[in-house]
Amino acid sequence: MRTSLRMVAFLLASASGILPAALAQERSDNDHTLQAMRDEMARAKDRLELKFPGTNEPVRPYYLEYRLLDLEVREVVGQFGALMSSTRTRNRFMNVQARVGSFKQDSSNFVSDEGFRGFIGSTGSVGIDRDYDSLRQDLWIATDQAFKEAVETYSRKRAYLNSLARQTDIDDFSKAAPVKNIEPLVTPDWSGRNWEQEVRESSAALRAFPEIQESRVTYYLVYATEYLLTSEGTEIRTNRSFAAVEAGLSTLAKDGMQLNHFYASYAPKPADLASVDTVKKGLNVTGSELMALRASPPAHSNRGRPHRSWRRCSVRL
Amino acid sequence: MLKLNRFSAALRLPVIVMALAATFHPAATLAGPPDTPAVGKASPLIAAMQTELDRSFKVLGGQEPPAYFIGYTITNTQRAEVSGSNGALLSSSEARNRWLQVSVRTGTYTLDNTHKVGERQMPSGGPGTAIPVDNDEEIVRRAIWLETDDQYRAAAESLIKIRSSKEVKADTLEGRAPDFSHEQPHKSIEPEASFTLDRKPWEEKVRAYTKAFRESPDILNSIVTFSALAQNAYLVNTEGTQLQHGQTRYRLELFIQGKATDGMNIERYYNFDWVEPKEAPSDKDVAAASATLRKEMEGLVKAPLNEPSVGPALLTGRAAAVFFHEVFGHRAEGHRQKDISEGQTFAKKVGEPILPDFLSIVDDPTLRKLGQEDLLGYYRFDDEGVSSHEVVLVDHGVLKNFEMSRSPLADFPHSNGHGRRQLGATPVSRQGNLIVKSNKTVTNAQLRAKLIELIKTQNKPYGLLIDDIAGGFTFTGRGQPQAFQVQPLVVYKVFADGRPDELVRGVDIVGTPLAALTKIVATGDTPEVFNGYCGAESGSVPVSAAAPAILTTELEVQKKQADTDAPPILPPPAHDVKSAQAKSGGAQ
Repeated sequence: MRTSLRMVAFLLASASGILPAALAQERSDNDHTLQAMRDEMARAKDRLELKFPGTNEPVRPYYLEYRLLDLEVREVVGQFGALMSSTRTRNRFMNVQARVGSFKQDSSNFVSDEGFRGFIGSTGSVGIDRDYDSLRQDLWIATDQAFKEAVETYSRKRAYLNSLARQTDIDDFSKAAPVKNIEPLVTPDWSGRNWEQEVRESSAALRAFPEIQESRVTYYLVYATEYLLTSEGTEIRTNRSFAAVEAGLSTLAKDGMQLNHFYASYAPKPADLASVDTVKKGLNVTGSELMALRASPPAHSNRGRPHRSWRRCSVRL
Repeated sequence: MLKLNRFSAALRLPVIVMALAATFHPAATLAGPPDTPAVGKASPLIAAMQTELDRSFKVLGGQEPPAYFIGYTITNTQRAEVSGSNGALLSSSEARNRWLQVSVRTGTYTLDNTHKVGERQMPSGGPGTAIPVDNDEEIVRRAIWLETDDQYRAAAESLIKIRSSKEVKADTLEGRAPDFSHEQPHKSIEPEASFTLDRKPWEEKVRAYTKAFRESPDILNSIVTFSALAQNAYLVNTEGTQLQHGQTRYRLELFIQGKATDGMNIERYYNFDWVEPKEAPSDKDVAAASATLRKEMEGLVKAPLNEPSVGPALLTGRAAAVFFHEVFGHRAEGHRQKDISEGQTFAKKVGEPILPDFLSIVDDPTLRKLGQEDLLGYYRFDDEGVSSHEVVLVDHGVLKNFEMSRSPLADFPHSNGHGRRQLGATPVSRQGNLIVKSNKTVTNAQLRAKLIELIKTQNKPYGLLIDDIAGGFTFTGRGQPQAFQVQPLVVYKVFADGRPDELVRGVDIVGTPLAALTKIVATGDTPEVFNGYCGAESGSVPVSAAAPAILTTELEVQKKQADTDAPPILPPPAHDVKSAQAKSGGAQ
């Protein structure tokens, strides 16, 4: 019976355009994340209940929020033409929020020294498989922790507020219309570029400046998928990507003053990141500027005294 | 402090003792394979390091104050790690990195920049710096040059401060020992260690291993981690030492968490360690270990709390090994005898009995294996470039020696190859493979019978059987009581009247070393190995401890620190009957 009703609702929603075609997308891309979030949230909404500490007054979460962030990151670091490190990591971070009380006054906006000490925690790193069962297990513990923490915090908050002569007029939380936006799942595209070779070649540009003592050229390539589910009905799955080349350079002036300079270039996705030649040109400019700075005289204060005396003079060898 | 993650089967029942006896081979235990290293091809790093060392020493040796010793160590690390949780992959990665550490000493071997004045002691080098993984001589030498310059400046400044503050501090007997020992240089170039690994099979394995734990509603969280580590050290110094040596190690860690009804957190661990890929545990081995962990977890969450008590106790081999590591091993580390802020429990007891005369203790990092077990504390050269040696610490109960680094004592002027550190730290004397030997052995079944005799003799309601220990810690400084605390994971009450053993929880072993060590009255005949990582002043280093089961007339236990948050309100999703019924109702 329930299945039939769900099907009818689905068809009606599709016909009226309320339910986007993305739900079909979600089913086709083998991502069970949202379904696990929905099912565990439904169970928690229905059945999580405690008594306020020291009373028989039942308390249930009036708002639940699940956030997940999938991060796939490549980080390649080079120095003067040599590879320092090259890593590729995938992680999924979970954050569960539970609120008890009401929109007017709830468990948020209150900090106490004697907070709830969680067992595993309402935040943390969880499995990256986008599977159903392991995510439900993680959400189950996290929701339990978040709810208990909220109950304890709300209890302390109520006791504290009762001791005040005047209560606040501002609500703790605002109601929001639910949003549904489920984007197609994006597979990271590392663009086929040889990033390790690129970092070697671009960082080698700084060999032209023997006075540069330390340098790091870092390529960051990031893909992220964010999930948000709230008990108000919001369901979001969105994708983002980001790419960067960042370089830090340092040298010592003849009087021992340490001088630093930076180069950075950003792009919305790895394929759009600046070419090796562009980065080399940028580093050449940055290196030249640093050398010019090194050759310039120190600024003096208004009283005409040296700006600062530096412990470290130029190196001995 | 030791965090050792292994567990043993129990001495609870004679049948289990027999099973264990079949696993270990005491006759083969202490021999160890002959350690003849293969000769390898020198890495280009060695030449780069030596060239820069010669250049630096020529200049810095002539400065004021002069550098009298410079040492360079580059550690190349290749690490792969695959981790799973609750049936899903948590992470899978492989990384390579190189770390440079430079040690510069100014002054003389007798008095240098590391001399401790009052409470203050400066290290001989900084934490070091990352360098490229490519063998680019120019870049490696550039990094060494900058780091050497930094360390020389720090060493010169320290020596000047020491010379001036030494005049206003009282001279101590311990302080008269030289600051650095003269050692023979070593030249040894071994083949570089590395591994080639397909992580995919391990990704499937960690998923499957953690999925199996979901079958128990008492297991709230499970994490299984496979790691492969190949580490090569390249070391040169101005005394002429030139070393290239490395090791590859593999580890599989099983970890589960549960919660008793009163809120107490319960954790169980199991580790497999091996050095050859073919020695990896089979799925059957892992399933057996997992089943034991699960059974113990299900027992522990329901087990009653133990009350504080003093009475006879039997520690199984691995539990006894941790006991000796904490109670004796840390106090036999040489640098603690020199430091006047340390308790120096054994500093003046060389030649005196400190243990029953049937017990001897050696620390032998040259052993790769004990029986069938790989030893994590194996190494050929320590982190100061000194070759490792077997050191007889206690001979038939009499204290003979200490684990020594290159920080000598007045009566122990040389290192015995125990200067160890985690990357980034300065070496101090540490344990390697601490091995307890006994010539008063009985079978484990007889040892259990003796425990029951002791319970009766002392008219106690029960004795304790300590089967597995998570780790422990010990206070060695004078500012705290000279006490140790060891944290058992699996403890049984053993009754003299024939009742079955009762699993209990919430137990910590506490005591003081001099008293605790003399209460041992008998040992088992089967040494067992505990592999783990020990944390102390020079960071975390891999160690092993091995011992037979021990029977002690008196062991004090206290209550473990309590946790108060209650178990989860809802059952695990996979075990939620109500939810399943609702679903099946919906489907109908």
